[in-house]
Amino acid sequence: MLRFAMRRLLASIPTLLVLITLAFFMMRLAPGGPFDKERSLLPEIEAAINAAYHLDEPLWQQYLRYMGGLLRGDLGPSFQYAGFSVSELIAQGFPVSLAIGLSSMVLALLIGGAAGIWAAMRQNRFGDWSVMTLSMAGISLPSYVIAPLMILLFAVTLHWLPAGGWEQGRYQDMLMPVLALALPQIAYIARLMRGSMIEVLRSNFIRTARAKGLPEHRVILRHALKPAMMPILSFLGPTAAGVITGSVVIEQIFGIPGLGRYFVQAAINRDYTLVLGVVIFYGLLIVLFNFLVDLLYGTLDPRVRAE
Amino acid sequence: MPLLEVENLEISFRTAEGELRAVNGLSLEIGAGEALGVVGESGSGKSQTAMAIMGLLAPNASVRGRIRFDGQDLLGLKAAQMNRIRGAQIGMVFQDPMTSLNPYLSIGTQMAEVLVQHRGMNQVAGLAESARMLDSVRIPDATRRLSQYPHELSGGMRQRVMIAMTLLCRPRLLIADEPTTALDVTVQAQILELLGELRREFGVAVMLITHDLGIVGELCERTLVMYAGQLMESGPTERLLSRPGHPYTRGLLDSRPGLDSPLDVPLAAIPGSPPDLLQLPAGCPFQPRCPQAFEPCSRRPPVVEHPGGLRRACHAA
Repeated sequence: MLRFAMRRLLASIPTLLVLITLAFFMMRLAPGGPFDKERSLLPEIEAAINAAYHLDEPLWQQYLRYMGGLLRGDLGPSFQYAGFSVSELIAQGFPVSLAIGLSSMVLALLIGGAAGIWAAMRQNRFGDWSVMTLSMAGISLPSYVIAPLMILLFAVTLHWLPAGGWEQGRYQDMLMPVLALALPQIAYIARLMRGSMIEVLRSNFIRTARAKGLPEHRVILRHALKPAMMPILSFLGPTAAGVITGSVVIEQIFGIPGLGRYFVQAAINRDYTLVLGVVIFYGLLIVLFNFLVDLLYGTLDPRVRAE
Repeated sequence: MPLLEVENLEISFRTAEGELRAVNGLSLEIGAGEALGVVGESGSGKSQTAMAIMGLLAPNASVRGRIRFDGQDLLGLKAAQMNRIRGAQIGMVFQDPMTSLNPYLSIGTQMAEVLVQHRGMNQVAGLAESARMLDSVRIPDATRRLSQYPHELSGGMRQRVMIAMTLLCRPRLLIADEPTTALDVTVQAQILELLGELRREFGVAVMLITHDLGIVGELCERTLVMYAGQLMESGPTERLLSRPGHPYTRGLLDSRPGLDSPLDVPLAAIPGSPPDLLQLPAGCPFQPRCPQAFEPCSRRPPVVEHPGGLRRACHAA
């Protein structure tokens, strides 16, 4: 198991290298630079700034300098947020995104999973049909429609929750963004779970479980759930990585100081180091989550463990 | 009173193409400790009869008739009541041992849960009893097997595990649906021998479903031949195999290869194919393929008792 883990982690290094290199050069190919303003700077000042950030060096030298920094764990200074290093910015934003993202993934897994199982047990009947219709709506409705509607209802009309803002993770502040973030995931997971559960329920070993006289809830929970979880696990890996690194839309709408807003802001501002830092961080998380999913496969399925 | 009494069983399935009539007025009985072989081609309704007894028919099935087990009408039972009989008093072994065990759970977990469910045992006692039962089905190293998973066992071993699992609660009836079809010939013989021994050891009645008349001869004192969901002929196995009365039974027997049959003579086959269960003919279902068919066969033949415990549905014999 340990050897398998080490091999998997080593194999991910080239992937990350390619990702970083591509991101580095694509950012530089984009026109404009971090210090381009409407009013042009004095040439001496511009040269001084460029020299300070090593933008005057040839591109390959900048690349090598950046990679060298990476090896020491240094993501460099932000070009836009003066006085902050990229690592500091990520360290500030990530916990907030993580709290919201993780809560919504757990919520999505519980509700979506339960709804999917419930629908599968009523295949092609009214209950199934209504869950599937709702989940189709959940997938189709974008969060920038759902979120303002939620604010309108719960904050403006009912005055139950604050319309936005973030005070050290109060649950009132978390409720709406978590829900808004979870809704499409709930819908996806419900559909996935329904499909895989229906397939598992058709298998011979489920017939055996029924022939043993087990009550339906034992058949589902003990015999069908593990195999039905497999496709969801594969979906969960990359999705969880995406969700916990923050959603641009949700963080903007609810005014949350998470990581998501850096994705777009940094790219627009040509904040080279911040963009790269966020890309690397995101890439690492995807690699990590896929790795976790593989480990989970192993613990759930004894046949995988044997290989 | 027989242990199992099936009376006028009719099973049909609602399908997109219409009503598929899988079993059409089948009656059979099995006495306590008796072994009945149910023989027929695929699609003859033998497996669906078993599934009806177990209460495991697909949701689009509708059942009429009566299934009495130990005097109790199974078709009238609620799901929870049926769960107390399934696995405890009636056990079932399926055709494909490779897929009939849950690949995600250890052998011990799958076995012990039967005892936990029906006997209220705790896990430890359940595992201990499971190991004893694995011993009874001649699985070596039984205790170690409990922690193994199905993929670690051979097909024959898995079928032994399945058999052991169904016997845990000492059922009074064991339904075995083609239990050896998916296995190697040598393993087949071992499993059949085991079933015979266990039958004597546990005094369990057996309903053996197969398409192979040879298997029936080894295990069952009575045999029932089915075609298109109907009884063709039933009676003592020896009598049925040595002097078949029904043209269909004879056809089945003639189409078996023997060790001493000459190699240059092609195997006899029954011409034609089984009827479309979506559009059953009104008369005898075997009539279109029957060498002895004559005018009365366009009406459905009644099941008639013959001397020697034989029952037969045929106008000609």
